[in-house]
Amino acid sequence: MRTFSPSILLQRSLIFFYLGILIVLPIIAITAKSMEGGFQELWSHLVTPHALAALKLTFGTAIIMVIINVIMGIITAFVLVRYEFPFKKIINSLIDLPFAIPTVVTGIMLVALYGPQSVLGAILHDNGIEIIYDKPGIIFALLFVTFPFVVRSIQPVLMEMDQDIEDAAKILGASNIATFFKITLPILWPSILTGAALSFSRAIGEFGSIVVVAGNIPMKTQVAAVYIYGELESNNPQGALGLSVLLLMFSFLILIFLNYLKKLSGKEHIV
Amino acid sequence: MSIKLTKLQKHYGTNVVVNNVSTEIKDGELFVLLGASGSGKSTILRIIAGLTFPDSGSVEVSGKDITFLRPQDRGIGFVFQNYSLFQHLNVYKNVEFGLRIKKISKKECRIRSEELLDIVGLTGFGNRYPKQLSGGQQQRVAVARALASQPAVLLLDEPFGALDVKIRARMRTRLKEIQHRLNVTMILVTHDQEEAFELADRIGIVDRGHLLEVGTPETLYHRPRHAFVATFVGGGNVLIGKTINGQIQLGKHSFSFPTNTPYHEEGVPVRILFRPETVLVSDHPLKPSENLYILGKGNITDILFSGSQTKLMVETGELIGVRPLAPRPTFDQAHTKIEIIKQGIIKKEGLKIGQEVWLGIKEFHVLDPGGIKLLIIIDNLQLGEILLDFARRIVQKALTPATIFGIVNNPKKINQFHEQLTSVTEKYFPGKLHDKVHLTIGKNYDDVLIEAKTGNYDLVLAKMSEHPRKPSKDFESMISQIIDDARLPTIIVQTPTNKLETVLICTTAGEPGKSDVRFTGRLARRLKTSIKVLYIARYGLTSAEKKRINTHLQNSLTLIENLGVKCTIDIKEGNAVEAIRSTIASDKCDLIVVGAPIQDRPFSLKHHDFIGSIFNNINNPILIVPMVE
Amino acid sequence: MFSQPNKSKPALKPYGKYLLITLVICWFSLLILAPVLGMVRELFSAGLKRFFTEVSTPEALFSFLLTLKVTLIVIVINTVMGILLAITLVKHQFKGKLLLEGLIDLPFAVSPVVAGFMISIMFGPNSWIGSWLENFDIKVVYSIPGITIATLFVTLPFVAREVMPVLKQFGIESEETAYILGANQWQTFWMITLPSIKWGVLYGFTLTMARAIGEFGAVLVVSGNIINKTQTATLYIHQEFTDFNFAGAYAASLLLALISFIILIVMQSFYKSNEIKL
Repeated sequence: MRTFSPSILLQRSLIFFYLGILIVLPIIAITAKSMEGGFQELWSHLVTPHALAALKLTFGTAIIMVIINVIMGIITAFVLVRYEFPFKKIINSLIDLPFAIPTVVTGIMLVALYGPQSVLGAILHDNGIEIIYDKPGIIFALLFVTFPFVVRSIQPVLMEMDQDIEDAAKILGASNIATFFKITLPILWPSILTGAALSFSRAIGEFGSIVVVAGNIPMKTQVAAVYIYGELESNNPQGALGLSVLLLMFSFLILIFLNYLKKLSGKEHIV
Repeated sequence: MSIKLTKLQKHYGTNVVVNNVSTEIKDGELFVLLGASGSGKSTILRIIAGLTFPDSGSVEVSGKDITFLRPQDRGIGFVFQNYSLFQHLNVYKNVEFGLRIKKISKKECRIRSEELLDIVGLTGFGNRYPKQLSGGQQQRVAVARALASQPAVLLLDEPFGALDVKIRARMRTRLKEIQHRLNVTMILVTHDQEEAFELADRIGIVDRGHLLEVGTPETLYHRPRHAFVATFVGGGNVLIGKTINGQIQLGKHSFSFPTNTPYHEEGVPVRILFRPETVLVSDHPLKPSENLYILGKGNITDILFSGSQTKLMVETGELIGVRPLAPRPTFDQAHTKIEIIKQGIIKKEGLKIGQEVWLGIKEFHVLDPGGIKLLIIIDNLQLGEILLDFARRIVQKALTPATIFGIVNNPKKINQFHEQLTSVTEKYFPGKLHDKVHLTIGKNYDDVLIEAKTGNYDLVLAKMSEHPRKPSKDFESMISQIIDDARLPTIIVQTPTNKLETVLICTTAGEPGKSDVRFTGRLARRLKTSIKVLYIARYGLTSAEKKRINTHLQNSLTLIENLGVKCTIDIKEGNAVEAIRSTIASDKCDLIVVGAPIQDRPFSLKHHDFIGSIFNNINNPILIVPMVE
Repeated sequence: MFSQPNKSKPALKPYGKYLLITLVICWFSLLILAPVLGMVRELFSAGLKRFFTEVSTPEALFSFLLTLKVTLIVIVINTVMGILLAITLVKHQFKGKLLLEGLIDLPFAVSPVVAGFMISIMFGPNSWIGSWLENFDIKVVYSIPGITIATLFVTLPFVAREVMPVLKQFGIESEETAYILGANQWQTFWMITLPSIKWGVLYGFTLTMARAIGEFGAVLVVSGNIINKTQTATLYIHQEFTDFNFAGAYAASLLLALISFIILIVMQSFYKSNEIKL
């Protein structure tokens, strides 16, 4: 233990200042503001039909997305770690693409691909399937931006795993599938949940891609983040506050959950 | 259930991990595969388990071929070195796992697992989790789990490797008890010789993928056939004498061959093994008798007390012409050192260092005759004749076995090549010599490399098929790999030779070699040639350096003369090639020997300055010896 | 060896394996590859000339330049602060350390619009800080400082998060050795600490850059989206899109995507070097 030298004090103060002004204070500010009108006022803004619809849509699409993402993420991670096949290296590198691409650009790409003016979009439209400006579009966008989360959470755990355990199960008579479900999956649980939580948290807050792909149709394609934006644009910050604070609370809860998972598996690295 | 392994082979690229392994394991036997790390023993086990498949060969259990069955379908049990228990299941569930897969009722599973826990001595531990158990307890759970489905065979891969020494001993006893109680056939893999001896009904010694010998612990200890087995298993003395007049000549003593010894031709070296506890040490001269073979007298150099035993090292100068194989002699060791173990307490006035004693052996065992097995690489028939002529001299003089490996790229030309090669071989190896020569054909240099690694060769013969200044890339890479990878001494023949009577060993600046001297000495002994050791130094040596060089040369001289080979030494200063040329001329040298030290980059004829310059300037056949020290 | 009969071929056909691999390749193509290729096709159908025209309008150029400026400031500040944060959190013990660690992760979990909202409340003209800054004629909301702060917020965690594990593994002992050998804090930092965390820093740096360039929601709320004044590249794209000027939107998107792709490749190589260390 070293005594408090001036440089250490300087370092600490700098950090406290930076984090304080950038993170802590804004949170306090928004919480304070939301309490301005009292709890009743906040609640009334929250339970408007539009706001509720936005919430329902947000959580609904997020949950559907998480389920698909978890299943495909597990399979993708498994295939990438255990098997060799052509283009494997390229695919592995491109998994991180959604991390690098701006969310608006994601939205634009999806519109270019599935929009009414494209070939694919026209075919789907004729068959009554709407992707752009409708719920499937939202789910696609969410799947795209959160794709890496589950895969990258599971991959390192799978790689580090001692395969002798799977061999032991097989020798004892378990089929390959049974081995996967009874032996491998229990080991992967914390990382799967971490990936799921990360994608969920990203999904409920996602804005850029959804606002492009799905537009801003209230009651139909307006997710919580878009609703908040809409309220701000129409100069109605009160309306925006309720939902904002709710989302913020969820963010906190998910963070706590992630922290708990981290302790469970003893891992340092999530992303 | 008996298990039969037939000609199992497994390669990873040019790395041969399991090499032609065949054996049969009897029903109810505890068979141990003993070998050093990396010897391939674990791979053999995994092939039996179905965790990996062989490239060729088969595995049969009670007559049924299971070579390619999935591990699930083999009905065997496996215990891993790291236990591999399922951490998220408790002990009961771990043990019952295999049974639950078979959809056996929970009640029955529980009964069975209770039985097994009782057998391994873990009654009451059922509800605990692996992390709450010690290493030894976890391993017992692993054994119980493997035995739950009543497998035909139980395979154990270094099961006690991760445990403390004391626990290991206890586990060994327990395992033996379990084996007797259940009468399960067990195959256990280990590198611990003590463990193997204690547990095994029979042991199979594995070295570099080969299953060298199989026998009971007693047989392997007292009557091994291979020198490797003799020295791997327990301490021991292996001395190399000569077959003279149908008797074993050891120094100035000769003994008759015991019955049931492998045949030794006249003049050929004999390797005898005697364990340290069979040597009689006396402070007065010994008289030969029926049960005592006299070695002669010597001086005690080391005394080591260790509880119930005393270990002595005695050095004797009387065994002239005898080369010790074990204990492995140091380079400058002039005389033979014998390892002796005496049981019991030594009297106080008993033995002192430097004391003169007389030695006799109560019993000894003759190992299979060694030899220098040749691999001759032919890819071009005309040039190949020069090589075959040279090879003939060696085979004739040393009476060693040789394999001629012909390379033909074009599959259509195989038969033609084979015929031509056969007739040429008959020309150079007529009559009795023909029995010693064996012919094989391969596709390319990779095949040669695999043959070199797997065939137990001691010396490789090759001919540069193109201009020596520009050897072809593939040829060069093959030679590099034979020297670097397979670590085999290689003679590269360039022009026809008239005689093979004098060998020149060249060393130059840097650490004077030892492997080259040893190997050449052995070779010269077989070929009945004489040796000249030449050290080429740069100008302006300090007196300390001169002294060091001289010492080395003296040691080489001693070593070679001890083998019964005539030897001269010389130091020359200046240009290496010039020095060698002049020595060849003055001493009429036939074969030139150089050592290839281990370098950072792979060996290359072109890049190695010294060897490269020799190749470019000297036409004699050149022997490159990889340095193993 | 030579022409050995191939009688020993395994009898199992890995059907499951091929099925899974195909599934993954299809999913990947559908989800990731298709949209990217779709956009590239759009570009070529409009023609390269069109691409350049759209991308060189004054509004477009301004927006890209603004994004560049903001990104530059943000990556410098957050790299320095990130390293500082990592060092403080790993080396020192103090109350509230766990809370601090949690706070660093917060920007990951917060929706960008909410972030922007929080910042405009915090620094807006009605707020305490905002009105104080007005005295110096500094506007935060609806101007570039606001955009910078918003981007700082969302990119805060990256460098810190990447450096912390590397530091935990390598930092302490080598530094203590350096101290004993006589180095002071600054020397130790430069000669021992920094080199050991190099790859973590570089990887976090590229993540920060990618995020800063691509940030949308928070900036949209804070900046007021004033064309040619507070409109970043992403905002520009959105503008073009809502104005139904699809060609413009696609062109700018493609350019941004290209830049992101290059960053991704650089990121990958840093990640591998970092991985080797870990």
